Amino acid sequence: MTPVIEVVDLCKRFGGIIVADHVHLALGAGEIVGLIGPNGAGKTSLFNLISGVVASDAGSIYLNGTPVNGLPIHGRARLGLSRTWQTIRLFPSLTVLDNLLIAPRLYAGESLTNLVLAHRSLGRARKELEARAFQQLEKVRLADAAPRRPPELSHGKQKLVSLARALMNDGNCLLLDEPMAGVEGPAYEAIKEVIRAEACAGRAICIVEHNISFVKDLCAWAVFMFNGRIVSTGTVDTLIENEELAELYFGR
Amino acid sequence: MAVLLELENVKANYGAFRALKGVSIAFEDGQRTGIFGHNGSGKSTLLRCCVGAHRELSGRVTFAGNGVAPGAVHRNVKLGIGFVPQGHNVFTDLSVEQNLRIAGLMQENADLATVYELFPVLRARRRQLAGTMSGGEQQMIAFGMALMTRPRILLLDEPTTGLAPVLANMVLETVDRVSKAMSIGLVLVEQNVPRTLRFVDRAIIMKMGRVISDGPSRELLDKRDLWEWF
Repeated sequence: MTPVIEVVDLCKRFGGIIVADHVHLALGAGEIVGLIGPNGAGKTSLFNLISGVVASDAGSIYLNGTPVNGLPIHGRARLGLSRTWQTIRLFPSLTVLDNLLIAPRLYAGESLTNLVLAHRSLGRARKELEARAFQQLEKVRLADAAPRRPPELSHGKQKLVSLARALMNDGNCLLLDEPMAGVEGPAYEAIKEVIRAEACAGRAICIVEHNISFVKDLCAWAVFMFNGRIVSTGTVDTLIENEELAELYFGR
Repeated sequence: MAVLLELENVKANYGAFRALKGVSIAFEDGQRTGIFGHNGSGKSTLLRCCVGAHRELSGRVTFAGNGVAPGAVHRNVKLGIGFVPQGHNVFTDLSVEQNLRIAGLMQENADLATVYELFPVLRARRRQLAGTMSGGEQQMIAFGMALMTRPRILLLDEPTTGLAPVLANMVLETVDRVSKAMSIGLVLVEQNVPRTLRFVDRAIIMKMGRVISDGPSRELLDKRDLWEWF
């Protein structure tokens, strides 16, 4: 079966710093894979390369079998790729609901013909979109936050809104960059449930996360990155039981 | 010890939502305090009120006898309140050194060399654009920037968020070392209770905008059932 995301021999350097050193990675539908390793290992850079935020120096990236190296960020989003960010990147002056409404993969209103001739269907599409936005907010238990603006919410809740926004893209590829950073309490379980459900629905999900028990709970396998290279692949237990990797990651 | 930073019956709102519901806390000079609580309990808002970064509030905040004016963060920082907000608050398009120097503009005696001694990696990468550095390294820049303001008390909002365990421990150990060496008080909002309790003298727990527990950190250390609640 064609992998949802496939990275082949990917390379990228910033001056003397190598952030991707011949990286190979493939994820199938329904798989949840953890990306772990110390800070600066190249985990977020790999997400930036896959999503098109930075261009690679060499190698190939495929989404559902389609090469995307030449595609801009929005082109990759339209192929079904969505991501969250390590830091909050919501629009602070928009309501939570509006932050979600700008995130779907396809907009009924972007065709000029539709704008001129199909007012009614646009109205229907808008209502459907709103209903879908509320569904995503309910998944993260934040439906009541829809009319509020992100700065009024705690950091953890803003992370949940970011996840809900990424889910508005109904494609099958999701990259989550530290979804648990700054999240605790009831939100913790909510995020886990959402990720599991999305994988069951067929999404391929790649997670960068420092909360190892979270990665262990969710991911059948994980890769350990260091200095831009994937140095080991296996179950989380196998990786952290490796003395050399544990030293790099935990300092013990 | 003398009280340095004090909040008296502080209530803070975000529109109709009340994030702090009458909080009174006094932080003594040189004291190291950990603040814990779930998302939305008011921890970050409390820190923002301490430095004047939140405007919608009633009650009183004072620092060394001076009123902390809501909305005048630049003036409050100059009084000696250092603040590292959550997230990587650096100028991504500027170099490491430019970030540090900008923070140092607030104080004539700002000491770049001291920051580089504390974080050798920043010296090694001083010409690199902050935005191209990893999350952990950006956190170090933000911490270094706060030190450039020569604070008497340092407010840190989840400084280890997004850091691998090895680096999280290193950051907290550095915060510990710096605060002791420079006699800087700490107010540390953190998620990882057991890890943080090792570095603070006092532990405050917040829930829904109120302080529900306040005491020596060793007491909380014994109440395993309470910190496991997190």
